[in-house]
Amino acid sequence: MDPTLDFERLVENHSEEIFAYLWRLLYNVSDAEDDLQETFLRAFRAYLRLKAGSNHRAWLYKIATNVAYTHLKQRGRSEIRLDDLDPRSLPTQPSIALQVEQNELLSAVWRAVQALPEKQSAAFVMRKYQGLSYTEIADALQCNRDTARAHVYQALKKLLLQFPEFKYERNLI
Amino acid sequence: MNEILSESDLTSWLEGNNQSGDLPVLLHALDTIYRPGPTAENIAKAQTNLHRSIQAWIQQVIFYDDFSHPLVGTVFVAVNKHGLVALNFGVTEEQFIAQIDKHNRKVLMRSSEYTAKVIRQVYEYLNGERTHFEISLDLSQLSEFQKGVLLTTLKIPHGQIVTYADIAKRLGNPKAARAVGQALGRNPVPIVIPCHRVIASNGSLGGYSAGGGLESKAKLLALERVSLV
Repeated sequence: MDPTLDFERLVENHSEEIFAYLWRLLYNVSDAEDDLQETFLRAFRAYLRLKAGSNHRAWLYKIATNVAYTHLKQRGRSEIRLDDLDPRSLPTQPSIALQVEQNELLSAVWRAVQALPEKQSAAFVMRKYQGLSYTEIADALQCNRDTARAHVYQALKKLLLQFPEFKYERNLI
Repeated sequence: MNEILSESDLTSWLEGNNQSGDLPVLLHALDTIYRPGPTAENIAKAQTNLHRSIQAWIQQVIFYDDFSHPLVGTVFVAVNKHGLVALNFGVTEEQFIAQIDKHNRKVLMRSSEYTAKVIRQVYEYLNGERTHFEISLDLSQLSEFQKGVLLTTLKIPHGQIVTYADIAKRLGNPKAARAVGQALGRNPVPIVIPCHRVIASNGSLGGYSAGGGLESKAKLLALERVSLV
């Protein structure tokens, strides 16, 4: 068996979701692209040392999480911004006032997610938006399944506590 | 009402069972930020660039393995997609890796499959069952002069010896005997490029930088039934 062919299959199966994951953590296309390359380069270098039977998907998420959070630390808190929010996700033609308010809220939520402990925000994104099981999240974050689940719920509870004033103000979004 | 949602409400939202509007704005905001993901165009571009990089990495992968032979002990060989890049013996695995990856930039994989052809031929040679090799070489990392010296050395038949000065003469630079010796001293693939067949003009063995030094050089020449007068 050619190990490089196996690796190419791994890339084919997982590069799209890993890119989406990095995009969600970084919220910047070119940073996500750089980190996708870095993730798979690290994976490539380590590929043969991976034990047979390991969960490749969780392993790639583990590498991607490390790469993205290293990147976020280098980027620095001052640069954290939500400047390229996807227009597809916004309601059609909101009023200017509503739009401004909406962007402020979204930026505030984004910053709050960024301020969470890494494992909590990563676990939350993996569970809710990447569709990983708690077992896979546990493998990716090198903790047990209960801890992985606790990370997700702690993230959500912290965020909900930070934004009580927005509770049920549905017209905002 | 400032209390947070119950755990079962959160579970319901997390599992995607509650997509109705009756949720805290925070959860809607999170969906707005995270649900869309990158565009199909961005995904396609990222995958194309990644694919290109991976093809380049694969070209640079070095596969290595070792075997043992009573004549010289453990022999390490390293190949890439173009051919043999390194061979050495009398060294540890760490020393061999340091030799082929000085700056720790390359991707190394242990592989018996890619190295099998080289290992079989070198083993047969050491057993006295083979007098020439059918192996591709990748000398692209070497200087033009060193490549010239090594390719000239490659043509020396089994069981014959020439001097450093002979090689220099064949390269059209008769005064370069010392430089020839230095180039052979950095031969990345001893045995396969038979630098042991090159000796000093005064009939002494000269030098040998592969494992075991001159003792190994003498063993290889004895294997080829070369008698030094």
